[in-house]
Amino acid sequence: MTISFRDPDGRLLVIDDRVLRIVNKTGAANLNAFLASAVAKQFVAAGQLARTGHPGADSVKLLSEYLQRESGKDEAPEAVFEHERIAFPSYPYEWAPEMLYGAGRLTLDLAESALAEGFGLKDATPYNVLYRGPKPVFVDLLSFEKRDPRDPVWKPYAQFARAFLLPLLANKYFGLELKQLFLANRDGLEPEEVYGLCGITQKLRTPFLTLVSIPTWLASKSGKDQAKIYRERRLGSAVQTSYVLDLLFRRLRRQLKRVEPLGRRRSEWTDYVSFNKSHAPDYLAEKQDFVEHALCEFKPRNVLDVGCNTGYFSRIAARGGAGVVAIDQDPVTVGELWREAATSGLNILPLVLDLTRPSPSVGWRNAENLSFLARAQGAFDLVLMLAVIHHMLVCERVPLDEILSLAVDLTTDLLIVEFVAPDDPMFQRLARGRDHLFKDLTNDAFRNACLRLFDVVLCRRLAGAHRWVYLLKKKR
Amino acid sequence: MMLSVNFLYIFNWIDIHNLAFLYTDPGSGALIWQLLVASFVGGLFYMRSFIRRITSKMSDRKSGRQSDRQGAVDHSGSTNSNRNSVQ
Repeated sequence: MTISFRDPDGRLLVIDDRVLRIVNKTGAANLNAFLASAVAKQFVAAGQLARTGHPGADSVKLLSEYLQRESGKDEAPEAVFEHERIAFPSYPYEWAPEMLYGAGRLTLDLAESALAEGFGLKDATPYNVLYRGPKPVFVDLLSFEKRDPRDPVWKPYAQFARAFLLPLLANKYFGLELKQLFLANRDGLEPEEVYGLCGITQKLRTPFLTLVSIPTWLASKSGKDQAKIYRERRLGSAVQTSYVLDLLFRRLRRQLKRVEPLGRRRSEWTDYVSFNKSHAPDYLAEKQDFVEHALCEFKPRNVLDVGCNTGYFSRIAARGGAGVVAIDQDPVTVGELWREAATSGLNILPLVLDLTRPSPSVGWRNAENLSFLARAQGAFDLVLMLAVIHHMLVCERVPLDEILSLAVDLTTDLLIVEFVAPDDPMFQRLARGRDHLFKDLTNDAFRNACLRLFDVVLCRRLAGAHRWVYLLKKKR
Repeated sequence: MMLSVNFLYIFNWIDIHNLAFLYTDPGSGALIWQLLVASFVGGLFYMRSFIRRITSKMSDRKSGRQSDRQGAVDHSGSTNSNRNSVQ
């Protein structure tokens, strides 16, 4: 399946979990030169650039079979490269703002370091970056090309502003979520769109003046002479050009820093676990003991933590050696978890995602970026659904059988699920008087529903609560 | 003067092709802003080099004059301590 095709120098295909890039002569020359450079080696060694090489015989065979099916002809591509596969691809509309900031910083680091070795970055989009756990990895190696040392223009400047700076600015100052921005526009925001949101005095203040107002004013004046601005320009010497670009990157770093999301933000969910710790310590301790026991016995390799909140159980699973994808609908708690995972080095990829409205397939033919559920298919051998299904049942009115049927699709083996009975105070708070809708929802009914799809390995009632936690194994 | 020459240099650069090999949208306002800042910074570079050249020439002349004077003093043999330190 082709998942990237905008660059005329090549396209990216994913065939049977192999990531292959077909490139033309120009692309191959640039890519080979870049791979041989010190900067590429340095970033690959640091895990910040996807490992890339020439494909083995089996990959070549897979590719030629694919191409033959696709075109009906037996044509060999000019050159093929194989990239390492990142375990769970994610997209900017699933990231916390902190993660977009991290991807922006990596883009600038790479662009600036490559410049010193005579390579330019020809596009600066967050889709060039994927996350391996909490660490950003630049994956589009075809984005690097040899550049003229007297060229004073960083061509993806406007794209970097649209895709990184302006979405972060709109998030920080106007509370717009990345999900809203990137699902609506692949490339982020135009300065003109943000200009409409700014107040009169705001338009004249940093960072709005140089990021939003001046580009908007200049765009409106560029009418007749527009063709002139797109001409290639050269400066008198490479030293002068390097001076100009050095200051440009310093300015971009300053601007990125100004729109960096604030640390220690608060939402209604940030204190959820600490509240439980202080008000129901036994309940939390028992649940932790249950989960740790299951992790220790079954040693899952890939865990999906649904409704992870601040990542209390994601951290336990990651410390046990699993790779964790932790999802929650609250960008603030997800951002906090990302900061912590990035600092501690735990293998957790936190994503802003509501399982009742998972990310759809988007882009050309709905096939450029796969839906969350398509990516999750077969990716996890344990799914955690702790203190979350009552939110789905009550707030989203998803039937219990549907929730369990999705869970069985998401896991290849195990499910740990917490059943919260309708007489639990949290359930009642969510139900807001609609108790009659859940009068048949008892622990026995829940257990019977589970038994249709799973075998019950272990079940425990949690101390002092109308809650039960189940370890379930998928029926074969 | 140097600054205005540089502005012209940027904006009147004659070239036959448009932005080469570009497939992403280069924007309009943001690109003009980048060009304006690049022109200004490019001019700054010339000014900086110009000022550096003048100051280095001035300091060369100053140190030349000082060494001339030093040579004259050494030649007269009136400062033994200086001669000793050179030795």
